[in-house]
Amino acid sequence: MITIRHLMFSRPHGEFAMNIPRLTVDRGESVVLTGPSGSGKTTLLDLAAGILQAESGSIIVDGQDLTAMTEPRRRSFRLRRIGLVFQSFELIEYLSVIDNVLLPARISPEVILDSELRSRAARLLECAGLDRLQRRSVTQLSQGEQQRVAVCRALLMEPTLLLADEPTGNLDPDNSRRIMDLLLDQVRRMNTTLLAVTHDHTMLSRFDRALKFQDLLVSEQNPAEADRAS
Amino acid sequence: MLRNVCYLAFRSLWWYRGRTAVIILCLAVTLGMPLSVRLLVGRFQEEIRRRAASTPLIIGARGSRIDLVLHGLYFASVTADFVTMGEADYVTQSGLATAIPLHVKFRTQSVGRSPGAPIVGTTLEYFDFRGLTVARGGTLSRLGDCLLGSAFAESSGLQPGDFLLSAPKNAFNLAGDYPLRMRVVGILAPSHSPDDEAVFTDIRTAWIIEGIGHGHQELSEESTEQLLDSDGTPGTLTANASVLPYTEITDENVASFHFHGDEADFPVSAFIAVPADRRSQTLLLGRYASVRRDAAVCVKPLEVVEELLAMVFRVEQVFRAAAVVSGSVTGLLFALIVFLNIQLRAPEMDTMQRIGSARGVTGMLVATETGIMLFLAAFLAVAAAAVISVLGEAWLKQWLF
Repeated sequence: MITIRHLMFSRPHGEFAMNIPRLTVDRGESVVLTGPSGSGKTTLLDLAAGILQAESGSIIVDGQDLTAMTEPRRRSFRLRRIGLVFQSFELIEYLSVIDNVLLPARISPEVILDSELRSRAARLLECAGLDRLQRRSVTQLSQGEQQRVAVCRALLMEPTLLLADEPTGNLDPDNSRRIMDLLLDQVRRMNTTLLAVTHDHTMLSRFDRALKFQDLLVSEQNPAEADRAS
Repeated sequence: MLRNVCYLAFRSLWWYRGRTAVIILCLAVTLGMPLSVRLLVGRFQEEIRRRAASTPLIIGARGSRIDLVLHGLYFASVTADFVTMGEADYVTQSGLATAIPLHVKFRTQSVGRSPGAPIVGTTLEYFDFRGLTVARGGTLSRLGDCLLGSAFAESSGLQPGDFLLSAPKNAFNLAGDYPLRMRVVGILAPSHSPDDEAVFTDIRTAWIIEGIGHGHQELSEESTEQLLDSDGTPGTLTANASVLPYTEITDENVASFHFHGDEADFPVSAFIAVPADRRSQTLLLGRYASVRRDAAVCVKPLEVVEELLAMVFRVEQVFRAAAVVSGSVTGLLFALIVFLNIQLRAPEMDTMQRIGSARGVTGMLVATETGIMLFLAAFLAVAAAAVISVLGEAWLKQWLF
């Protein structure tokens, strides 16, 4: 479902460089990456989402090579096929719960906001236990509720790949568990591939596979190690 | 797409509604002020030109030409000097024009919601000349009668058959003018001109108010004791001072009213001259520029009004320059607000970009919000300007004249 080959990326002025020879996550599989802060986990998610462009190598999502796409195509592809969940929720404060969920459909001319999308959004909120809060402002929600709204937004377009960056990073244990329940239930129901990053080791067992980010990278000492890890 | 962007823009504006309202209000005032002044001045110019153009010549005492014209057209500002009725007779007898005298010196007392109106003493020719018709009641038929302009009738609530008191110029001047209780005989149809705000009487009634003409009260033993005081001497009756709060002309005492002196010497504040033709007008202007130069001045109201409007235009130019400066400052502040808004909302824009919004959507969003605010401000400005130009016209005339 997502296949990364010989991915190279570096920041300007040599601040940061990444070299991932190989990473494959199958369709419907949930994989979590762990690793120290600043190691490049979020950068990898941004590359997999097409937000950042790799210097070389390939990132194939659902059979499409993101590195071969133009920037507008990557945006369009991301909106339709890739869902994103952020650590700080990134909800739009002036929109209600339902409008936040429908946001992806409002910011692209290629998506028509029809009744089907509206009912899908309502169903997602129902599954997240937020159906009674649809018209409420997101500023009136608890942090756990806000992250559930963010998960619903990421799932609106029924993406084939869901990228979650520290989805429980700002939540207490109880809310963290509820968010993971929602995330994993939905991706399994939709057969969506999930690639997540977390520091919360108590959650690792809930994923199909847990990878140490450093093991993915080419190490100067042992170039073959990364290949084995992926 | 545009619909969705508009929806997001409206949600955002509504969420920040306090800030939005302040910005819209500031823009509306900046746009509305010069627009209101332009419309107001435009309406004022149109109205004053129309009134001036319909009045061929005004003749009055030497002095300010502008004061004379405003007095003749709008019954404004009492002229310092009066001409005599003889001057009007001279014009009429010359055969060059018909003279319509105007005596505007007194006002009525306040009635109802009206603070009072100018009392215009004139002749019946004035009504024909201005095309004024009686909507209710009759016309002037006797000394002491008055006709009300439609606007004054409405604000005062007076009807034909009611009475109206003139206001004395000086309450302590016992030897001077005395309030006259006038009989309202009719109400004029609206003419959308200063005539609607005036009270018209025969010029001789105006002279009675001024004290030039008067009547004599017949005293008798049968009169009530409240009116009279008898000292007991046979054949002698003394009037009680308290019985005369005003003068009133009735069918019974009208015959006793009379004028002392030659009517040709009686004052008129101005008179409208209606020449027979263009040649007569030129001749009349020529006479008042030469042989009658010392007696009175003859002006073409339209020319004087154009001079006045040129002054108004110069004031408007200054105002316009000030509006350009304040508009520029507001424009810069608005640009700063938009810029700060973009910066403040950078995380929101970034989220949209990360989710996959089309290129330019965030720009469209900011532009739409800006456009909506400008549109609402412009709408408010135009609406306010329209209201101000209508309501302000009367206020401006009152303030200027």
